[in-house]
Amino acid sequence: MKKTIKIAAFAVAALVLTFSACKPKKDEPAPTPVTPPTNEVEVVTTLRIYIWDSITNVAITGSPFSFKDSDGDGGQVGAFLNSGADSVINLMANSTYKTRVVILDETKTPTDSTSNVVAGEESNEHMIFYNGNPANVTNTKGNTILKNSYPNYSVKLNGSNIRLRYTDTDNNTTTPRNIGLQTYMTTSTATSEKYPFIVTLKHQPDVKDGMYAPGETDVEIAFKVKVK
Amino acid sequence: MKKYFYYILFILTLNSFRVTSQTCDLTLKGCVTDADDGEHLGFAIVKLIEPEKIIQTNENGDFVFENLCAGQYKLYIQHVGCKDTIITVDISETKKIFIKMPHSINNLKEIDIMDKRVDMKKTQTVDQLTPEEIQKTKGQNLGEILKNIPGVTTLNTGATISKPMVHGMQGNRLLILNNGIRQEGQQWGNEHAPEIDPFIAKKLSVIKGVNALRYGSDAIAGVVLVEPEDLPDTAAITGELNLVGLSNGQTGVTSGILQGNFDKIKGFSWRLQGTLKKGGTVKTPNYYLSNTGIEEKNFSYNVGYHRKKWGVEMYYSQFNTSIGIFKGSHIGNLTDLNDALTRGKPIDSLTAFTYSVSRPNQVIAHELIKGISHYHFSPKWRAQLQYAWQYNHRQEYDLRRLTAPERQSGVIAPDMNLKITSQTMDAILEHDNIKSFRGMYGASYMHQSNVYTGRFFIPNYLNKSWGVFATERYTLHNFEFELGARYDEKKLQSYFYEGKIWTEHPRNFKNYSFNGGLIWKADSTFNLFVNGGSAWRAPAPNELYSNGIHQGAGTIERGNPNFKSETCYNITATGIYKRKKIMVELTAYHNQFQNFIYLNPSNSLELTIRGAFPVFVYKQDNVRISGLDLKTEYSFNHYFSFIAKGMIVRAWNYSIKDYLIFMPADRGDINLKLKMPSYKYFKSSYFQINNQFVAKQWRVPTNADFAKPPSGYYLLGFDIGTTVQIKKQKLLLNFGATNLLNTVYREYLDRFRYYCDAVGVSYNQRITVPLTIYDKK
Repeated sequence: MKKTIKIAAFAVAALVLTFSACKPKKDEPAPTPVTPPTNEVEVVTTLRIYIWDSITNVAITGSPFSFKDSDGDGGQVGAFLNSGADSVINLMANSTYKTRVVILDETKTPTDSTSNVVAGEESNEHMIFYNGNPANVTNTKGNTILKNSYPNYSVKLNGSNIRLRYTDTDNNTTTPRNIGLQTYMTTSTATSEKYPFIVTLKHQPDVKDGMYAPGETDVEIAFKVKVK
Repeated sequence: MKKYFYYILFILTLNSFRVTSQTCDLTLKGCVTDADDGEHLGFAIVKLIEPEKIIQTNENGDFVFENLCAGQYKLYIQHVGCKDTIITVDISETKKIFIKMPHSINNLKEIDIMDKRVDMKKTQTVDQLTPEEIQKTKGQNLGEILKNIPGVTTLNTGATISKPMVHGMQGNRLLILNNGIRQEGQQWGNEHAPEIDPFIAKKLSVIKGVNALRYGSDAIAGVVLVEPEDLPDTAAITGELNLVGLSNGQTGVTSGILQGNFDKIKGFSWRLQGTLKKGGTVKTPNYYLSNTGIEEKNFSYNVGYHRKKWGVEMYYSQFNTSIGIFKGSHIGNLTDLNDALTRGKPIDSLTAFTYSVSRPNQVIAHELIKGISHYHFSPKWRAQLQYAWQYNHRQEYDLRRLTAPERQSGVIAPDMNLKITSQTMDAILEHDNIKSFRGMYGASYMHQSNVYTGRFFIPNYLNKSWGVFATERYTLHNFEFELGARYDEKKLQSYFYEGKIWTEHPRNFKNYSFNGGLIWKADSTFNLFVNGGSAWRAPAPNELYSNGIHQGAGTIERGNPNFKSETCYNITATGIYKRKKIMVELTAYHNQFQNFIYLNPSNSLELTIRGAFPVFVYKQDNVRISGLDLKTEYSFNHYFSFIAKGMIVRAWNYSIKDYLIFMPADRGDINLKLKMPSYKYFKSSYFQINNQFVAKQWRVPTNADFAKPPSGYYLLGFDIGTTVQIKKQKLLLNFGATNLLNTVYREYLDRFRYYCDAVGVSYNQRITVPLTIYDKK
């Protein structure tokens, strides 16, 4: 009798265990190679700023100034091109220039232009700021807002005293605003040292109000500028 | 040898020995047996009243009181599984008596359930939440509930995500057993709370100190036990309904249990349980925190069949949650971080209340199936076999724009998508006392696979671990000694892309652990528990292989694939002093770590297209973590009592010659309770007021954090409870408040302290309705 009970006990136990093991498994994972992400997520890899003289239409030395991060915001570090020389922009005193910012996704073939999207269908969700972070404002850092409204949103960069007037328009029909991909730049006196020139692209869906604070930072590149 | 044993015993219990002029050299011998089957009951406690003497029977159930004066004596006998018995004995000459102990009511006559485990009280410190503490905290998450145990705090990501922390250690250093099964999910993450519904548990306890012996790797700080009640063994259908409302977040929780036992099929019992929770935007004293909603849907069922010598049980549980993460804590880059730190509060300070959860958020599903069987070979030998299958699916959605294809198709993939499946098998053989030895032997195996889709943060991996252990306990008078050893092997194979190539990274880990302990029951007022041993932990996949931006934290984290295992030597001692009006429990512990792994700021920045990010690098250092936990209770009189608790943790990093980062600050709390007399239908009423104080954590390493630790704070709370009894139906009512004074404060171990204050006042009500639907009695 004892033996039967013993066998019965383990038989039931075995049944339970087998039943548990045979439970229909959802999506049984296995550590085989993962299909690499197809990059449906928009990756931004490159920011370039083209600067040319507004009168002669000749590009200045070093233009375009580029920063490239080949995996977007992944683990690999990004860098300024031309062995880092692109991090410094040299301008002449008392001159006028035009600038254009281009943002690209170079992981795609052909290269995808994010700036086209920023300038086009999503322009009412984006704005570019130059030294725009109000938390940074001092005599030599940050910017001073000269005109806070559309058209011709204008700022003065503290320290270098460079003025920027935004010349592009977004697609918001009720309250249009500037975007900042294209500007008209005016320099004043020469500077003895380099000052910050930070280009920030902010994504502000439904919260774009002409201010820096709302939304998230998609791109932030810290160039330096010197006026000779 | 036996003779001397009794003499020694006699000397030890000498305290209240009285000498009279009469012949006081009489001896009372006895033997304690089980009333039902005549089994001799070893280690029963026999207490002589007037003069007070306490002894234990030897393994044959024998006891002896010597040098007694003639007269009448009362004997009080206790044994586990039996009803306490009092008998009166007349002694005029040396005699021998036989005492028969009836089974306690819990053991059925018809179905003699021998399910009781070998009676081995742990040499480790075990702290359990009282039923009242559980009643006061129902509806909160597991981490917040466990905070009522001294020595336990939490690592928070806001109010909705709490990871329990014992003596400053959490995650992979604290094992959580979900109904006896190791909880396996992505517990390496500081923002990953354990996916367990506290409502499944009748008993919530924490074993402090290394427990590697019994449970294997990872149980360094201790083990959290979440234990449901045993399945019912009386023919009845009972249950419980719980309704909880928390005003902060306007959170509602409903949980119900139904359980029964079929009298037609003897020994067959079942239980059904489920919980629903929904909460919205939480509020700090001055502003709302946008996107802090939470939703939970859990259920579980349990069936068991028990016979006299064996039993089998199956358990299934499902846990599903969606948790919103406060938008202001989601950091893009260093500029954002500096802005948030300067600002000190959210931009959109005036967010209105909402229940909806939007990005960034976490969606987690956790499924567990467990099968367990046990068999009694003989009254002294018992075997147990356990199998469990666990599946944890964690999806995290970052704060980012939807891509055009996502907006068009409506199909949105999570930014982090991890699925981990773990199968565990355990076998245990234990024996009850054989020549004063009681022991346990076991073997375990775990097979685990982790898969990611989308962005890489931790790799795919296959983890195969196995271990064997043996432990023996020896009882000598009022001492118990325990010694055990364990051997583990872990084979970890990780797979991920290096550039465009799919590479394989194998790592093997082997380790021995040992553990020894003792219990000293000095007398009925003082008990001492001492336990020491070693434990180890293999580095986790994130510590080895993480390489990139930690989304939302605004940092770049880099692991080290060459890390060795962490080892820990620990000693923990607890003294419990108990008298009629006062109880004091003090625990002291010391952990000596080699190769302790933690995340360390490297003080360098890396540039990415999104801006600059501070880089954090995992490091291995030699550290020590020690401290004290205190709990004391004092009853002024029948109505008025107080409970005070406190803890301090002192941790030092030898390698950097500075404090160890992220350790809890000194804290304590005082609870004053007033019991109110019964009035008509209202019974067991009480009013309680409590004050918690937390000091500023100044013991931090220099230059290792974004911001200085916040100031200390005091939090006041109160609680009123009563049990309404109308005929046979009971209703437990509870009303209270936490942070009654709406104090503005920040907690050092809350990741949100960089960005906002902690939550303000919450008025909480709880209703528990015990149900009896059918009772054969």
